[in-house]
Amino acid sequence: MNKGDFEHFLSLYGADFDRWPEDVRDAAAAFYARLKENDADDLAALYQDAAFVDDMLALYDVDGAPDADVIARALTQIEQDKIVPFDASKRRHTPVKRAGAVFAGGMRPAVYALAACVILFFAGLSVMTQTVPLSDASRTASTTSYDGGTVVLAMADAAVDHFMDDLMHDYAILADENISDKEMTFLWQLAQAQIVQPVSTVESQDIERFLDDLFDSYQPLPAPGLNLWDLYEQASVVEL
Amino acid sequence: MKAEGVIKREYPDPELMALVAKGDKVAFRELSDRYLKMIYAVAFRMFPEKADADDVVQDALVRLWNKAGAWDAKAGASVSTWIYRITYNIAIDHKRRQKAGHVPLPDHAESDAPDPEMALRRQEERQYVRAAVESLPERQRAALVLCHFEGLSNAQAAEIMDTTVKSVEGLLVRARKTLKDTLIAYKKA
Repeated sequence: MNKGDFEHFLSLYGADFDRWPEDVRDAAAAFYARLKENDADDLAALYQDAAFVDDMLALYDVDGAPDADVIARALTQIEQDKIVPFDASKRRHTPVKRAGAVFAGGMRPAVYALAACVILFFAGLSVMTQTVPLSDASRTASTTSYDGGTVVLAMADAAVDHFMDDLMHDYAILADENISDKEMTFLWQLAQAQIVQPVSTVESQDIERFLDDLFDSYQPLPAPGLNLWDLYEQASVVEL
Repeated sequence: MKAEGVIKREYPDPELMALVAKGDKVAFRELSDRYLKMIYAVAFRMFPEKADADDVVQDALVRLWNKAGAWDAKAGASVSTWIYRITYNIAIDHKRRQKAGHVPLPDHAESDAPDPEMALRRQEERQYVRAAVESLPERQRAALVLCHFEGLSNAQAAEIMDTTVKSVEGLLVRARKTLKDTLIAYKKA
């Protein structure tokens, strides 16, 4: 285990080595012992901070217990609302029209344009991303250039989470409903929420975190109802 | 397995789920009873007000009844993971509906414990931690609740939250960093 590994696990699991993955616990304990011997003040301070957070979190206990009659109340609700268990054998396999309606008619060109915009953004990202120092030396901004313009993703940390909450919630609903247009919905929301121009005060970490979440979460359907690359070819970049 | 409407305690979860899916209320009571504390713990840490937590628990139980037939043993998720997932989704839905915004961090707290000064301090810390956790974005809080408090692996949390392990790790790191900054500022104050 090296310093970087130790910092990584510390930031992820806290100071209690029992919470760390089993295969690194011994190495972590040995590293920590050496740390104390070597007066590595910076890491020791990080460890103390993590231990403090752990101690404070230990105070967050669960007050009380669930209502004694909560199961009875649930059963009453089930009976009153005539809720019957879902029958998996009758699961719907055909797409519903909810998402399709969004992309029908006059909205379709705009959606294509936005999809192309996002795809262009992704494509540009892979080849032209650069790091730009801001006036504040402690911060940098990643920008992506294409066709003479600049696109960045600018979000505060909390906003990233709220956006991803909403996005993944809707995405999960669409996936549950087996809607083949879900990729388009995803890109639509992404484009609506994320693309800003020009660069202003962007924190590179915000961009990177957002992209990490995005790329981790986004998985094209095995047999998509809409092929994004076909859309890209159909859409005129000039529309952007 | 049932004798006069009573289900034996050792009856496995998957078979109880199958019975619930067929509308067996005795099996539902048994399964609910088994997981009540777990559901409440998650609900409470997502909503540290008992009334809110109880609402989440009740909705989660109704969802359990309604969706038991959708649980598929062959898909690989354990019953407990599936129930965690239901609870997580209900809690997120509740939180969205509330969206009251910023949770103020308390200035001080009252306590009636025997050692007034120490007890007051401890109670204040407890309230501060609770408010700090409640101030976290939903997904960060959920990752923290599932992994830190419930002791689930990052992979289990990812399955419950319908995301990847890497995303969960990112959420945990951010949650802990925010808490560190908030709590250390409190300590210094």
